[in-house]
Amino acid sequence: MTRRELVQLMLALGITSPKAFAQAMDRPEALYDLPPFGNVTLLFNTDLHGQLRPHYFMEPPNLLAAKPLEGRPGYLTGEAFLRYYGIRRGSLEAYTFASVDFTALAQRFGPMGGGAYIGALIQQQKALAGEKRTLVLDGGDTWTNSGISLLTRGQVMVDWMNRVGFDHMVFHWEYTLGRARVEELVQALKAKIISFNIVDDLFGDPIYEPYAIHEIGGYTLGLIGSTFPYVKVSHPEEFSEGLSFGIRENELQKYVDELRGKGVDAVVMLSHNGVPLDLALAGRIKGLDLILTGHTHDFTPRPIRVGNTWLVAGGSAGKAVVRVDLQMKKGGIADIRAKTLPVATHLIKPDPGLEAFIREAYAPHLDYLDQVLGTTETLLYKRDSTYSTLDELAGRAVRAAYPEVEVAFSTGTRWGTAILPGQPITMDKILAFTGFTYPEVYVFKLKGERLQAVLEDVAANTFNPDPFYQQGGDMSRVFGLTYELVVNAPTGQRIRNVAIQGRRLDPNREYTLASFGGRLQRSGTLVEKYTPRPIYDLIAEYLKQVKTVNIPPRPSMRVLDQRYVLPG
Amino acid sequence: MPINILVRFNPAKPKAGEDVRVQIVVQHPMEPGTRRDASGKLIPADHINEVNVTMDGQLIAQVKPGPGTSANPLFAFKMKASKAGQLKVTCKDLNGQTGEKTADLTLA
Amino acid sequence: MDRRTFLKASAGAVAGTVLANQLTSALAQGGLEGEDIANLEKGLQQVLGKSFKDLTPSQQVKLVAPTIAESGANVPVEIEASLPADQVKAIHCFSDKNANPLLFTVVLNGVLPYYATRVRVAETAPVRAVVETKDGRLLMASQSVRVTVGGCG
Repeated sequence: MTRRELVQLMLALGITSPKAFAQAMDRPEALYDLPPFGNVTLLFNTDLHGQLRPHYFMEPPNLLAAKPLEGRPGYLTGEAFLRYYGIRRGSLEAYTFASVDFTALAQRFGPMGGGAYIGALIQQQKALAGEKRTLVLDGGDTWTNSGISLLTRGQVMVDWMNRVGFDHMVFHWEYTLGRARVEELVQALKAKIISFNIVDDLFGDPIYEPYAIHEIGGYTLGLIGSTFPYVKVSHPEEFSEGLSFGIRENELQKYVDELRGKGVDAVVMLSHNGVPLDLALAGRIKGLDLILTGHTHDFTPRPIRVGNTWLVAGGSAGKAVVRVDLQMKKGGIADIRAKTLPVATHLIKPDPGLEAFIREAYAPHLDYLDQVLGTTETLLYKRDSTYSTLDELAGRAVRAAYPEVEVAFSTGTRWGTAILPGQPITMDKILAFTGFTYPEVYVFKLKGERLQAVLEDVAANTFNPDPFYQQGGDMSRVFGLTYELVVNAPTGQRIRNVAIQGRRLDPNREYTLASFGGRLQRSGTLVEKYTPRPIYDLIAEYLKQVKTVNIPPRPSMRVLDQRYVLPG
Repeated sequence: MPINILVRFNPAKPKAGEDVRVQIVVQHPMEPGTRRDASGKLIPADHINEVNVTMDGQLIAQVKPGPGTSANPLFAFKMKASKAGQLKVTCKDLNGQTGEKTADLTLA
Repeated sequence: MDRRTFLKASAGAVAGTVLANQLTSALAQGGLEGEDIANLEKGLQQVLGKSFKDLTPSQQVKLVAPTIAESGANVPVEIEASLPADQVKAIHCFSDKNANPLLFTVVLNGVLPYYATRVRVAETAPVRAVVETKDGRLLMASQSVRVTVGGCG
């Protein structure tokens, strides 16, 4: 880092006093030396998606949103994000929170996150704030979606959490391990699950404690857990048999009232609802003081306030740990300080115990995970509203395996990784964006009019102006199909001029499609001659064949009513 | 086999004058008659079409569920817990199967 | 709204971004998604011998249903009327796009004007709770329920 960049970074982090500045110049890691504040500390990590090794992850170049939501937290990205939060281009914060100059900054600042670095930062912050006044919270999406987490069916993630010392957790992708496995792992987990909205589907009784109460520094904190409302919609139902989830707004209000009735000073919600939905809920639920939210992978370098409720988001991929310090008062929060601390591997000394643990966990799987399948000449990234080059890679691999497939779908999941130009592509990297417990690629037939309806349905879930009608996730990616998108059009009219391999969609023709990681195939008729195979095997085969890939971003859609930015 | 019915009061023992929620869950597939099996054959309709709820012999609610009610249906009511008594649920389905369950409401 | 509104925070605290809490009310849309009055009329005629124009949208009827169903085969609905119990005769429920739009009818007699159950909704459409009073009024609350093919997390 040059001196100029460092100065910019310090300014961006609000380190402006001459003494702090001088210190920071000598020791850039001083950004973690937060002075004491308040009397309760919450450390929040979320949406790690099993990434125990440091890696690269580029924030979305685009977060398309309907007009009423445009430019708000939850839909801020790229330069708009930097402007909104007053972050300087080229700084560590810009690298962590936005996609601007990603490749150049990745080369400068290196990979982010990783279990040994996250753990070290949590331990350090806990010691700085005071062990007794600190709670460590996980917002869910931690136990799956990486090679190592899948190979151990979540076990390695639970062991990691136990070593780091988490106090509470909520769920989402964890359930794709299956309900029985989740319940087995909960037994091994030292953190206590809290969730008011995981209920048995007959009588509606919560399966876990809906909330926990903590006495800290003379104040009482009520902590409500909210698991992702759409576990059943987003994944095959058999993973969560006998359970029901949902937003359950009335029940949430009931539990908040119950906690208030017990005389807690503040009510905090640990949530996997995501920023848009939680901002909407914050305006409707009475008596919530603070929401710590995951799911949508947003960063909020400054806390957001809606009415009397604060909201802080935790990002994803192990890129940051959020430290929230609360100045409590009787019956509420008098003041808050929230800092999103980048897990910068060039500044943090990894915890040696965790490093050894992770090394040992990987040891039996190195031949498989670290095999080099090929090399990329261009940036491979995952996150965006509608398109990514990693999904394009998946599409090419599916087409190579099944040449008759006219359109290959890839998932609009938010998790993944990034592979820099010139880097080798290993199995571990492929699993970082295709690590499903249901990875099978299905080849199926669907009529043109149904295909158009499916695209509209996904667009309606993604771009609905009302967060209560957004299921979450980005738009499904398409390979072999092009379309025009009108984000602000009414439902049923967002997708226009669909063409398949250059020819206008024929509503009456049957097309051969392929998809994975979802339920799309259920809309059509399976082509039975193929035994479904995992997407990561198809990609590995393709890479071994072509050896080098070059995938410049060429979006499959044109957005008619919004600006669409290509990364670079 | 008679149809299995589960009944719960919430709160389990209400105070006199308090609202009590009565949750009735019936274990039944509730086939709407529009679904097809794996071989594409229509599965015939088989759903509960009448539920009667009485309190000490007096009919307090009657449901006529159609094909639009889910499998293992829930039927939930609210009443004022004015006195202790016996709640009785009876139901029958399109095939003439019946079920019956009594539950005693006691006050705190 | 001014998206660059900063909170004056006390010393040591980081300024926060203030958002209005009328976020959702700013999203007022046109009709309900999936509305199909023509099909709904069939059910209304069949049960009530009435038509959609005979129903009065009313704040006295509260309908609680998910905005997005976990499964169209299993949609919890809860209906409550803020009316004296002895004024309510029955509660009916419809979904615009079901082949048979009537979901259920429940006749109440001595219980509070409340009913909760789980229903099947064939595709994205409004669910309508209709409270029939003893003096023949039909009070309605509607909410669209999305039934999605499901995509991604």
